[in-house]
Amino acid sequence: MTEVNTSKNSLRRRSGLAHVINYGQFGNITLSGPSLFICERHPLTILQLDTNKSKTLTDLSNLLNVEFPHTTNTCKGNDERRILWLGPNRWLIVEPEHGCLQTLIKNEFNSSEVFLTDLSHGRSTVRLRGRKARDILMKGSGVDWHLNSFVTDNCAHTKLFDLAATVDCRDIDVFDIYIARGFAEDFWEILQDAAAEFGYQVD
Amino acid sequence: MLIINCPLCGPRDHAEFTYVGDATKNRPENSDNSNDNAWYDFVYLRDNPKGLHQELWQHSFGCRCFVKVLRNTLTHEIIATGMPKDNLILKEKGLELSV
Repeated sequence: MTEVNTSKNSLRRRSGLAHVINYGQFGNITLSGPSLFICERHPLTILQLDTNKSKTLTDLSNLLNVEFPHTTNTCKGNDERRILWLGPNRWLIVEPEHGCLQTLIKNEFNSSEVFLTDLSHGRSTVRLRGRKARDILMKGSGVDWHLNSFVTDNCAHTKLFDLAATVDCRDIDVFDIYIARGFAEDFWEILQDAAAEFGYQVD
Repeated sequence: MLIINCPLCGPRDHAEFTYVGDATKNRPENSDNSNDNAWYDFVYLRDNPKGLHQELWQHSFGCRCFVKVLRNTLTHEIIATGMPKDNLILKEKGLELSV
């Protein structure tokens, strides 16, 4: 009889988009190639953090080696770990899944100081890259996505194609979009429809 | 389309907001029975003004904060927005409630 290994390391998080993603080039591809690149970022650790204590935030910054953004709709971090401003006293911590970030924080801070909600299982993340990425965002939301308004390290929480989404501007034409996992398949189809006229590549 | 200027997030489509209610109602100080009329007024009675009206909206698809909105119920023009503690009428000098 085969033994089922149930240790935590053996369980891999399954992507909410795994069964709908087709890799390749689609839509109106011109001689200059696709003007949009789409890929899923998976698996990610996504934690919502609530605290109103400034000393706790300073200690957390030291623990995570990333400063917390206090300006509205901004992000801070590096290629590995990002912290997004969600609202007053509320942040989203995102990093590629490799350790248990929640345990790390919970071991250092008690539950009266920091309120953590693990959203890793509940969010799908899509990365848009390319010169037409902003055009896609403009199709889906009324936020000012202009190059001069929505710059690198800005984020927006909005209704994108009628779905609640968080958009993180990683670079001038690179955007990470966090969407509820239950709507990820719907979002993926809408995204493909919106991107077809530009020609896109799924990586 | 109405554009509501969230004090934290900036101008956003009103579809991102949820209407909460009349912002002119103040919660009665005491909860004892002697204050029943005040509570009845606070919970049930609402004016239906034609003209300027202060309302609470929640930016439910954004920062989730409550936003006070001064809106003209006749033209749907949004004249001013602020945090719930702000008095928008005082901010907009020269304008008076047409209740």
